[in-house]
Amino acid sequence: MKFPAFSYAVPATVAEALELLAADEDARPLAGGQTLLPILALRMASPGCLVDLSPLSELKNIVFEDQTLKIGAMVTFAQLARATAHQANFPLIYLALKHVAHVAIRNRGTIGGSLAYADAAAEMPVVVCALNAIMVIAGVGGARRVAAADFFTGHFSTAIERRELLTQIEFPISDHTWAFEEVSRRPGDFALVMAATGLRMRDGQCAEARIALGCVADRPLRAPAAEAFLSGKQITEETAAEAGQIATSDLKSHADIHASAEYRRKVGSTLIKRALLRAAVEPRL
Amino acid sequence: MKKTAVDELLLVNTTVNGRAYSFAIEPRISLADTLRYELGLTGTKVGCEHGVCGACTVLVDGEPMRSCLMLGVQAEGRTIQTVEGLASGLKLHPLQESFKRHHALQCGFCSAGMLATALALLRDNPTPTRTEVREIISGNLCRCTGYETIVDAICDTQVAEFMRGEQRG
Ligand SMILES: Cc1cc2nc3c(=O)[nH]c(=O)nc-3n(C[C@H](O)[C@H](O)[C@H](O)COP(=O)(O)OP(=O)(O)OC[C@H]3O[C@@H](n4cnc5c(N)ncnc54)[C@H](O)[C@@H]3O)c2cc1C
Ligand code: FES
Ligand code: FES
Repeated sequence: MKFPAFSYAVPATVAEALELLAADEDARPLAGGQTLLPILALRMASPGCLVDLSPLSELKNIVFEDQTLKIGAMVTFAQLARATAHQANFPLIYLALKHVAHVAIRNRGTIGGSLAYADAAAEMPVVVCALNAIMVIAGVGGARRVAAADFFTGHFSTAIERRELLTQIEFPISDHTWAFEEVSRRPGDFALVMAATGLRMRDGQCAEARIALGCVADRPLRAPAAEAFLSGKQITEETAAEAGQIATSDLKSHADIHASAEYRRKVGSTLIKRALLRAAVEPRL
Repeated sequence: MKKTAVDELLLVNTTVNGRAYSFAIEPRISLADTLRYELGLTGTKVGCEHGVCGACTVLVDGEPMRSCLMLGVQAEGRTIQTVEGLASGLKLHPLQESFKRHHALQCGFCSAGMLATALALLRDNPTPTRTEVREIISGNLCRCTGYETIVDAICDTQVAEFMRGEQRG
């Protein structure tokens, strides 16, 4: 359908955008619009005012400093893919981006919009959890920093308050080797299940494992028990499969028209195993 | 800061198919409807109006984007290419010729979006594999052809030869 009517504001700075949001209960930030505009078209929401963030160049920076990759919220998936294709230190971001939507959507959709929307079937939330990223959230009173583990609060809900904006995502450098596995119906479709795994190996044994799962719950999950299990072990068919089992056996996964809860648990377990075996043979930097 | 009230018209300056346009529209009008109703460029088709079918895909500053998921007012200062801008006069673009030769269209509703998506791919990579082509057009639905002929048309050697000359640096 056609979009419902709204008033339209074009701020020149983040401070102005925050003022606009604070002044109008019914205002919503518009990032790439690749989720918000379909929502409007489907009349699932009709905000009174859209605050267009697209002119805000201060939200489009990609910088690497203090061992941290800092990405502005308005960086598009396409820009992020170009920036990380040669960023040897952040392979997971690039690996996961290959699964995000279709080329035309990637040219407008932003990392900030994806994280703020927090779809359980989206890739970026899993990536920020796996990489222990920090979300920088700005409000009229100043900015605060929220760890990925505390950022997602449920289906389509995050720590961002109505008057606030996600401005930057900070990825600390990691020396793990990474793999990302996803099952979806077609390339570019939302995931049915996905897994990201990272390994830091020492003398053939796992010194630290990271396991993150997506689309198996109302938010992305880490699997601390499976991560602990792998510590000190070699990564073999058996240990990788065991880690997958541990990570998924107690999951209260959701069922929908796309997949049953049982399917999600089983596939999740298999994807973790596959991703661990793949990360184990990735060359170390 | 600029804020427009509901129903207030906003002035937009944009370039479409090499021609400068200046017009006033409501912010709620999508770029797709702007092209079709404001500029009369009805080659751009509107299928789902929520981003899934790809029929409305156009090139914005050379990159494929969904014109149903952009506001017309966001065309301000941009350079847009629609299917009407592909041919030179009566001479079709080699990719259009290839679609014709390979029977890559029946009703033609998906074609404008397919062409925009494929052109951007071919500019970066004039000889993509069939798998790469299938992946890139995964966001463009065709209800007629079964896709095989579309992949044939995009992988055509004459197209590859032409696109090598157009490759961006
Ligand atoms: C056909 C199709 C397929 C898709 N497939 C996938 C897929 O496979 N994987 C995937 O991850 N996504 C997919 N998407 C969604 C896409 O990635 C969206 O672009 C993304 O989820 C939202 O980013 P955006 O910049 O477009 O945000 P918008 O749509 O502009 O905004 C989304 C929401 O976040 C809020 N918001 C945006 N930016 C901020 C900010 N900086 N601070 C606070 N709030 C903010 C908005 O108010 C809105 O509520 C798909 C979309 C379509 C249409
Ligand atoms: S009409 Fe734009 S994607 Fe379907
Ligand atoms: S030719 Fe009819 S939809 Fe593709």
